[in-house]
Formats: sequence, structure tokens, C-alpha cells
Amino acid sequence: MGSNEDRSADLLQGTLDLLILKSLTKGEMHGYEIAEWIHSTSEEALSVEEGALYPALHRLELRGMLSSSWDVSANNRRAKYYKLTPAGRKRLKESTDSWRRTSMAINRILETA
Amino acid sequence: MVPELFTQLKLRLKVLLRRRQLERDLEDEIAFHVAMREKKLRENGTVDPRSTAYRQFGNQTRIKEDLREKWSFAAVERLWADVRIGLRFIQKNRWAMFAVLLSLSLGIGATAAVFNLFDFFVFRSFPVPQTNRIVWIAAQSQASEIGHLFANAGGIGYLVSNADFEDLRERAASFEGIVSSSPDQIPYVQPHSGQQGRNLIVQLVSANFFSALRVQPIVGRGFRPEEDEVPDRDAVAVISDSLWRREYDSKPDVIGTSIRINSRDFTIVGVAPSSFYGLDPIARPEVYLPRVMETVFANDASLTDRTSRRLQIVGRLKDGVSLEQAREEVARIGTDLEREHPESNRGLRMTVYTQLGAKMSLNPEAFLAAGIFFLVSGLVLGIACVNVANLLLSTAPVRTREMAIRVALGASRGRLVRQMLIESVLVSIAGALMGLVVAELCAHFIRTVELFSNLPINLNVAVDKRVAVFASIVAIAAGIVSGLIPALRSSRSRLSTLLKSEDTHITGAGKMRIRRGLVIAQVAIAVVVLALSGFSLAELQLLRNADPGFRVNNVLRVALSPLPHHKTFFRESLERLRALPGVRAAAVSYPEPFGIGNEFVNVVIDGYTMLPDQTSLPIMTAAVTDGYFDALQIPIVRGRGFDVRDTEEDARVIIINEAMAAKYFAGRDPLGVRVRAMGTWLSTQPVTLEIVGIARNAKYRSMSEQFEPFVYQPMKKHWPGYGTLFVVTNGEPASFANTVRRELANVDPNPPVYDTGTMSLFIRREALIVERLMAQVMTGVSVVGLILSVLGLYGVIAYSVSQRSHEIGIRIAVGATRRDVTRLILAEGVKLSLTGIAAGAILSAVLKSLFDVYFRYVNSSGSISSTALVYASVIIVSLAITLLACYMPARHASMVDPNVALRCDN
Repeated sequence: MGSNEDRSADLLQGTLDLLILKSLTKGEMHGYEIAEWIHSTSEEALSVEEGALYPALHRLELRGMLSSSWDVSANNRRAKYYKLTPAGRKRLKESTDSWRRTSMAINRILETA
Repeated sequence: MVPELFTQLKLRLKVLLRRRQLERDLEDEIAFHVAMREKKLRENGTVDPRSTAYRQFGNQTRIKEDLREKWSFAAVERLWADVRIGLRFIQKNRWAMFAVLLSLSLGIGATAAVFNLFDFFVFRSFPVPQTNRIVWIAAQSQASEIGHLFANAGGIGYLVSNADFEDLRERAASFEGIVSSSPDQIPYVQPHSGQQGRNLIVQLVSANFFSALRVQPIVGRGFRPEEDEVPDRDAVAVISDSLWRREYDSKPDVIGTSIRINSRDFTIVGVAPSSFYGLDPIARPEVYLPRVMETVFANDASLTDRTSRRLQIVGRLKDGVSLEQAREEVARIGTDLEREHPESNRGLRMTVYTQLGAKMSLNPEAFLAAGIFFLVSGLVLGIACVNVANLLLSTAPVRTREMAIRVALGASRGRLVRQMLIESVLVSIAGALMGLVVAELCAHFIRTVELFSNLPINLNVAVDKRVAVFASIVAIAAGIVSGLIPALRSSRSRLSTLLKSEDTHITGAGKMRIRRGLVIAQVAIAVVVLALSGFSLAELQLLRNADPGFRVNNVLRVALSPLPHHKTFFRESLERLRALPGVRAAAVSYPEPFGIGNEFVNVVIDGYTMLPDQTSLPIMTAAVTDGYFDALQIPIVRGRGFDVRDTEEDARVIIINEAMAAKYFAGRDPLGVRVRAMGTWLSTQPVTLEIVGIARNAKYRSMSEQFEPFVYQPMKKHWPGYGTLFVVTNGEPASFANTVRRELANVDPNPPVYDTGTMSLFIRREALIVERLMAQVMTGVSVVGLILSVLGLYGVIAYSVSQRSHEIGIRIAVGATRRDVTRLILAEGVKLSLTGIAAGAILSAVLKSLFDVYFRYVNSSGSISSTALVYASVIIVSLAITLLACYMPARHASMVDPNVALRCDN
């Protein structure tokens, strides 16, 4: 949509969940904060589409990886805050490990040429 | 996984209850996001931050829709919508659906009835808690021989002697409890002393019978351990629920009252629940007595004689003990017993079977029969499914347009196929309910089959939960199978052609091809099913007319249970009966041919070398009085028959049959040879007997059996007291029944007769009970199949006529006669049915060869003609009936008025 979109890489299937879980290790956040955090922490390389972010958040919540609560935000609006559950923490660790293994393997393959 | 599901469910339920809250939350969450983005854009100095923020967010509605679906039970809601649409469709096509329902209920009903029958005889386990832990414990001596004989008799074999049972019970650690039950006794029972009684099935069981099987008496108690310790001491009884209801009006004060069994009074201590029927689904005991009360039946030797193997033994495995462990332990104990008692137990292997395993190893033919029956009923169900598919196809023109509109509105093909499958599953569920009614009617028919004139044994087949579950599974499968072809076809059509074309019959040609193919398949299946049932009927007929090897006509048989004074009773009765005018001969035998009871005698033949681990040969035996061979016209081929001296003086003589002479005396003369024998009616010590005669072969267990070695003993002191009187008469034997009964009453005021009737009736009713039941059920099922396939053929031809009325109109207009038109349509039908019949005939020849064992008589050399007869009649019948089915639409076609047909659009 925006011009910066073109430069940012498409998110691999399943990695969005990983990024969301990771972002929440910093503490409670609402959806917008999560999107911003991913965007800025990746030095603007990754941007998250809202159309994907919210379904992912709700899916993770339904699966018990996240819990949510409503609170009033800094600018005095009602906002939904997400928090990692123990199950989510466990999933994050597993997914991180598996991501590391996969990416290393892919790198190794790419470097052989 | 499970806690995850639980969280999901909890969250979703919360949402389901507070739907509005969810909607507001979704709104708020998205609005908040957009507001934050807008704020940031404004800070960055973007022009029109608000609409940019909205644009960046993308399609809000879609995301909300997406989230909403995540939270709700969308799948369930969609399913419900499909069900509603389906019901509406069914209501609109009432008549087609009625035909569908009829087809399905007959098809499902036939399948369920067959399942019910075999569940009753074969598959079902004992009706006790944790029944899968109950196993059979079997003693197999020269397994092949004994097993084969019992398999023929259709009973549970592999019996164990009482002494072996006691040792097993003491030594085996794998079982929570091992229980025994005796063969059925049918004594004379007087529920109220001094009043008229009757013969009832009584079983002698070990004291732990009820406790180990975990059957809780509904009133009173089961037996106490000490009650089966001392023979003849504890005269206590547990009665069945049905006896309690029938004789005691279900009054709880029955406990403590006495019941007279064979002139001995027993105190009733408990009532068994109605759900429990002992170890045999057919012969259900009315009274249970402690095992050691066997003395009442004048059979005391059987408690200590290890060669008298009469007990059925089952055990309940301890928790944590596997079948393999139990099997190993029992085999080890068997080996120990073999070492300790070589004279009786050599070559006797002990093992453990699961309930199904026991039936499978004893009676593999039952499983073969089950195979044939499930095949036949499955084929009939197939015919029904084809009918349903055809009927659904005939609604296709209407359907296709409906589908097209839904596709235009955005429905996916998967959704449409699912929609149509749901409809056919709905119809088949209704079909399953009606099918259960059909199955219950069938069960009712089986229940009314009478086995003995004077003994309350019947086949208590009923539709139960298991049958219902089976029928539902079959129904849903049938629904999917029959709905799939029409569903795929209707939904395949191109949207553009469909909406454009006014004439929805445009796709008709292709559909007719499918429908014709289906009808050919139907006729073929019907021919197969008819042929199989034709073979069963032919087999039954041949068996009925087969020569059993003894006199059948002019014989009245009177079956009696034991009397304390049986010896004098039978002698006096025979004297009186033989003196009657019109009576040619009279004799007594036990067991009687084709009757209850299997008796074996263990013999060692001088000069015959047995297999290394054989100590003796188990041979079927019967005790007969003098005059038996004359009365039943079993010729003595060599030597002599029994005379009065043999029975009176305890002569040590036997007569063998030709099969025994051929098997064990190859090239020798058996006459005068001595055999050592032990077991039934003889003492526990071997006695030496002399062969004095050879009788011609006769059949003993079933009409279809091969001739087996057989030993006749003179009926003397040591025999259990049962017996069947045969009275040979001049003229109709049934008319002598009252005279005979009067004469018996002169000998004993209350003769314990449990069955009276002519021998020919007995053979028809009793000896061929299984064959008859099977042939009847099979015929019923195949007639249903024929009706269904004829309906199918009729439907297709009628449909084709309605499609071609335009064409027929033209033909008539250009000069075709009515007869030409009739012939045209008939030719179409005959072509279909001939193709089907030919395919069916080939298929049934293949199937018949698969089940050759079952059709032994039909296959036997002399009766090739009966195979041909079956084929010929099946082909003629199916051709005639299919012609009839085509004739009506053909006539209808010839009535077409060209003026009307041509003016009409289709």
C-alpha cells in the first residue's frame, strides 16, 4: 500500500506468530504497538499488514498462547492489551529454536554456490 | 492438545453468550489501531492522515468478518443452514423422497437384520461388566477331531473335566476367578410343590459363577463359596428373571421358598438379572444350581472322572494380566496335569481363547456364513443406493438451476456438494429409523421359530443398541455413496450454459447413460443375490430329502429327561408300547440323532497304532436299547444287534458303524476285536468291550455331516437317564401321541416328556434349523433386492419414456404403429436387463465357487442339475419380472398422442 511496503520482505508463513510472541516478551502491548515494534526493530525491513496481524492475534489468543485484557491507553482510549501466557512462552522457545535451525540450514545451502 | 481445546471452548462459549460484546470489542480494537496510525501519520506531516490511515488498514469489513468467524462456531452454523435447506428440498420432492426412503429402509433393514442375526449367534460377548476380560479356557484333545465334531454340532466345544477344572482353579494365578457351567440339563421342575411342573433348562455352575462374572442378582444373592464343596449337601438355587416373573409374579418373597427339581427340593436364594443369560445365547437357563449338586442328575462319576469332559470354563483375567500371559500359564498347568495324570490327560492341551477367538476356532463355518450374508445384504443395500442415486438424478434438472443460482451468488462447488450430501444423509437417517423397524420385524419372525414343542427355548433376537449403531453407520455411508454421483454431476455443470439454457433437459443424454449403467448394475446384483439364495434353498431342499441313514417316516419320538427310576421306567414303557395295536416297534436311545447332547467314549483298539501323543480315540457314542436297529431301520451289516441280554446283564459288547470299521480296521475284521474303553457311562477304570456287530452308517449331528466313526453301547446301568423313545407305527404317527402319553402315564404319573412329535417334523424343524433359518433370511433379503431393482428399472424406463415423448410423438405422426412403439421401449428395457442378467450370472458363478463349502450338497457330483436349475429359474424369473417392469412404461409410451406430444415443449 505505502511506498515503503515494496521494500519490505514478505513475511514467511508462520513467522508472524513468532514475531508477535517475541514482541510480547517486552511486556503487555496492544495491536498497534506490536506492529510498530516489529517495524522498527527490524529497522523498517518488515512491516506487518493489519489484515494479517489481527487474525493472527486472535488465533493465538484462541489457542491459549496469549491472554488479553482491556485497559485505557496513554491517549485515554479503550485498548486491548495482549500478554504472553506460559503456553505462549513455551511455544516461543520452540519456534525460535526451530526457526534458527531452519534459517541456518537455508543459509548453508545458499552459501554453497 | 486437550487443554488447548478447553481454552478454545471456554473463550468461544463466552463469546456465544455475549455476542454483542464481541462485536463492540472488534470495532474498538480496529478503531483504536486506526486512531493510533492516524496520530502517527499526522505527526509525520502526512496530508489527510485520517483517510490514509483507513486506506492503510485495508478492508475492515473483511477483517472483521474473518475475526468473527474465528470466534463463532461458524462450521456448526453453516451445517445447520445446510440441514434447513435440505429439509426444504425434501419437503418439496415428497414423492421422490418417499421412494428413496422406501428403498433405503428396505436396504438398511435387510443389512441390520443380518447384522442382528450374526451379532446374536457369533459376535456378541457375554452380557457382563468388563466382558473383554472374560476368556474361554479350553482343553483340546486331538484338536482336529473333537473340534470338528463340535463345530458340526454348532455348540461351544473344547470342554474340560471337573477334576481338571478344580486343579486349574487352584493353580492359575492369572485369573480373578474361573467359573464352570455344565451342559444343559432339562429336568422336570415344579416351581410350586404339588402342582404341575414342566421341563426347564437347568445349569450346574461353580459357586463363584455370579461373583466372578460380576453379575449382581436382582433379588437375594448368588452362591456362597462353601456351597459347591460337598456333593449333595447344599440344595440351593438361583432362578432366572423370566422364571421369577412367570411363576412367582416378581415377588421378592420368593427367596427362601423351595423349588422341586427331579424330586429334590431346592431353596431359592437369588434371582439373576434379565440382562444375563448364562454362557449360551440360545439355551438360556431358568435355574442355576451349585456344581456339586450334579448328583441330582444321577451322574456322580462325572465329578471325579478326568475323561468325562463336560464343563464349559471361562475366567476373568486379573487386572494387568495379558491374554498371552494367561495362555502361557494355562498351557503350563495343562502340561503339569498331563504329567500327573498320564492315563487320562495325555495329549490334552490347555489354552485360552478370547470370546470371539473361541467361536472362530470352533466354528469357522459360521464366519463363512456371516461372510455370505453380509455380502448379500450389502449387495441389496447397493441396489437400494442405486435407486436413491437414480431418484436424486431425476430431480437433477430442477436441481441444476438451483445450483447455478447459488454458484452465481458465490457458493463454492465444495459447499454445493456438501449441501447435497447432507440431504442424502438426512434421508438415510430417516431410512435407518425405518430400517430398524424392518430389522425388528425380521427379529420378531426369528423369535417365533419354535425349537422344541415343550421346552421354552427360543432365539431371543432383538434389535438393540449395537444394531442401532450399526444401522446408523450403514445409513450414513449409504447416504454418502448414493448422494455422491448426483451431487458431483449437478454441481459440475458450467454456470454460463445453465443459466442461459431454458431447456434444462439439455444435459439429459449424459445422465441417461449413467442411469442405464446403474440399472444394469442393479439387475446384475439382483441376479447374484437371487442366485445365492437359490443355492441356499436348493441346498436346504437336498438336505431335507437326503437320507439320514435311519427311518424317518412313521416314527413318533418322545424325548424324556432323567428319572431316578429310569431303568424300570423304560423297560416297562417299551413292553407296554410294543403290545399296543398298530405299533410295529419301539426303542430308546440317548443321545438321539440330531438331538441335544454330545457324548464321547474314549477307546483303545487292540492292534491299532495311535499317534504318538494319543492315549485313546474319542468316538461319538450313544446308548440304545434292544430293538433300536430294527426300529430305526439301521441294518446290521455284519455280526448281530443288541438283545435283551445285553441290556439286562451288563454285557460288555459294542456295535460300531461302517465309518469306524473303515477308519480303524483297514483290512481287518473288526468282529470279535476287543477295545478298552473309558468315559461316558462306563467306569473311570478302563473296561474291555467286544465288538459284536457293524451297523450301516447313519448321520448323527447334522444332515450335512460326513459319516463319522460311531460306537453304539447297550443302554444299561451307567447312563445318565435321559432318553428318547421311538415308536414305529402303522399309519400316521402323530395320531398315536395321546395313546403313547397315556401308556407312559400308566408307568409314571408324571413322565418328564420335554418334546413329542413325529420324526419327519423333528428333522425338518430341528436338524435343519440353521440351514432353514439361513435360507429363509437369505430368500427374504434377495426378494427385497429383486423388488428394489425392478423398481429401479421401472423408474429408469418410465423416465426415459417421459424424456422421449416428443420423439415418440414424431414416430407416431410419421406412421409408427402403437405396437412398434411398445416394441421400441420394450427392446430398450430388455437390452438393459439382459446385459444385467448376463453380468450377474457370471458374477454369481464366481461368488459361488468362493463359498463352495457352504453349498456342499449342491456341489456334490450327482446334483449338477440343481445348479443348472437354480441358474435357469433365476434367469427366467428376473427376465419375466424385468419385462413386466418395462411393459407398463412401454404401454404408456404407445398411448402418446402425437398432437399433445408435439405441441408440448419437452
